[in-house]
Amino acid sequence: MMDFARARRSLSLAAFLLALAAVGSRLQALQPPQFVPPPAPGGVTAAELATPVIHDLPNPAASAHSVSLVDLGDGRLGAAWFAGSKEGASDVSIVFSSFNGRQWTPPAPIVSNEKVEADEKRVNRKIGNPVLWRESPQRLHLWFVTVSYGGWAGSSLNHQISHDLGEHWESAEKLVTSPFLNISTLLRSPPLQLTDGGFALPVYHEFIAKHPEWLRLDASGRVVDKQALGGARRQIQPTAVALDAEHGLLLTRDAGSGQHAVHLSRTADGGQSWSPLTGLDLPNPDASVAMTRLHDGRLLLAYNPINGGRHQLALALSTDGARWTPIHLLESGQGEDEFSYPAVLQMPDGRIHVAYTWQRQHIRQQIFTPGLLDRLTAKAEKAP
Amino acid sequence: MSGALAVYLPQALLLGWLLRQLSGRRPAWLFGLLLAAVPISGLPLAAHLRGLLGDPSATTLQLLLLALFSHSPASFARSWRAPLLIGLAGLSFYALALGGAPLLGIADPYRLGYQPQLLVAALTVPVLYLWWRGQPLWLGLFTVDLLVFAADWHSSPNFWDLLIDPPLVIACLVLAWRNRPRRARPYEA
Repeated sequence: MMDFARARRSLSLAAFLLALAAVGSRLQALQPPQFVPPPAPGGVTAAELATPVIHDLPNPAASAHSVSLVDLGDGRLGAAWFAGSKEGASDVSIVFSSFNGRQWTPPAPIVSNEKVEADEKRVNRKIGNPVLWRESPQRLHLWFVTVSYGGWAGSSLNHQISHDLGEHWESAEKLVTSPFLNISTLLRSPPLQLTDGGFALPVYHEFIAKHPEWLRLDASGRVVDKQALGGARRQIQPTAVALDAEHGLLLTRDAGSGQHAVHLSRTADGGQSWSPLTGLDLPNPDASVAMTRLHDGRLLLAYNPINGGRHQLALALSTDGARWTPIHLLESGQGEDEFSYPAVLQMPDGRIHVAYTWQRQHIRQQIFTPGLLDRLTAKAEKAP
Repeated sequence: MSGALAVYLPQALLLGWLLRQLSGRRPAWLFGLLLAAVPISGLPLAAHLRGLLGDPSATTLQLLLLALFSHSPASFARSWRAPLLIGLAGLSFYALALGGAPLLGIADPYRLGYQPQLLVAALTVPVLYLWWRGQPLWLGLFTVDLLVFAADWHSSPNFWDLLIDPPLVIACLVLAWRNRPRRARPYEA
């Protein structure tokens, strides 16, 4: 009997050592991250525009919100947003459409509650914020948030891939990013590509505390690192750009710090660490902002330039991310009007596309060229 | 079908264990397993539980299986120290991971679970000590957690999610209360 107990003890120790050896490969330290540097400035091949070109995207439902833009790599621009009877309703789906330079295709549903439930084998009640990203010529990623129970603070992230630029999609997969019932990880802005083939995804947390988070994913889309950003409180919906392999910056939506200002954080080590969030001299009425780095190195921001409401939407330019020059008012309404949740993207031909929620009824697109932005900047600088 | 069974079975075990605790009767296990398959709004109850709770940790799954086969470790079934320690540690961990860490200006402990060299090293010391002191349970649980992590069988890539989960933390706090030391009552004739 004694020998049996001793043998069992020895066996359990041997099993432990075996497990330790088996897990060894997953205990290796991560390589320090590096951003894929932005492309060198290229020539503008698109025809110059005298004024912004405006398109209203077709919407299959009464409500539309939270658009994401992507360069499909074949000259087309892709867009995804959520559409349904109203935000948070069970009939909301994520739809996808593409723009060939002249018109948008009819939006096709690519995510619904039914699809999420079938793919992930769990109940799902709400679908929100989609983010598109093209990784290679044909491989398109979609991240989006879902809620099984409760409000948006109970959201979690999901990921699905298309291998034919959005025609067909693989099953959605839940990403586990939070230890407590996997709640409260949301996103709004596209990732930055890393040199190891992975991605860095700016996300945020809003259950009790509100703060931005930085997720690092490997090439397969698996989360390999996560950090919470410190500094100013109640900041969400980070939008990030890489300036070179090590340097990058992100801006956030002020969700109640009391400053009503866009906040800034910087990294000098590829996103491994971030400076404390500090307020900028840019108003924010608790509304989403979107930033992109133009081919000439300037930073372009779309934001609501007011302290309350979402009835104005504007563009601003910066060379360093800290000092911004408002250059153009995209929309100007009154009171309850809503022009919000912008997305900005510059295509390889040089054209700059800004898309946003228009009165919750549909998505509106405005197209600019770098020359047009220059003229708008000169005009804004002359204004009193 | 087998995929659905694999993800729903842990929820069914959790439901069975809960009913067993509440009723005190062994057949409650079977009732719980059957109840998990009952469709509600087109999906089995297990899918609703999975939507709410996510997948249980490897530790919880092991403890559920031990309980199912009437081998609940005495450290949980009758003692209060280990459940209290796990319960309080879990509460602190969740408070830090849900926003307490950035508020306090310290590192998020959940981050340690993605590349868990430090976490594994820190846990190896006490489980080996307890094994040496004749309590092999903890080494056994930890060994299986490591194997599940190595095989990438869990839906989470974070080692913390294989070690603990909210239902385990809550159950530990309830068990610590239930097993708390009581003053012996005088004998009543």
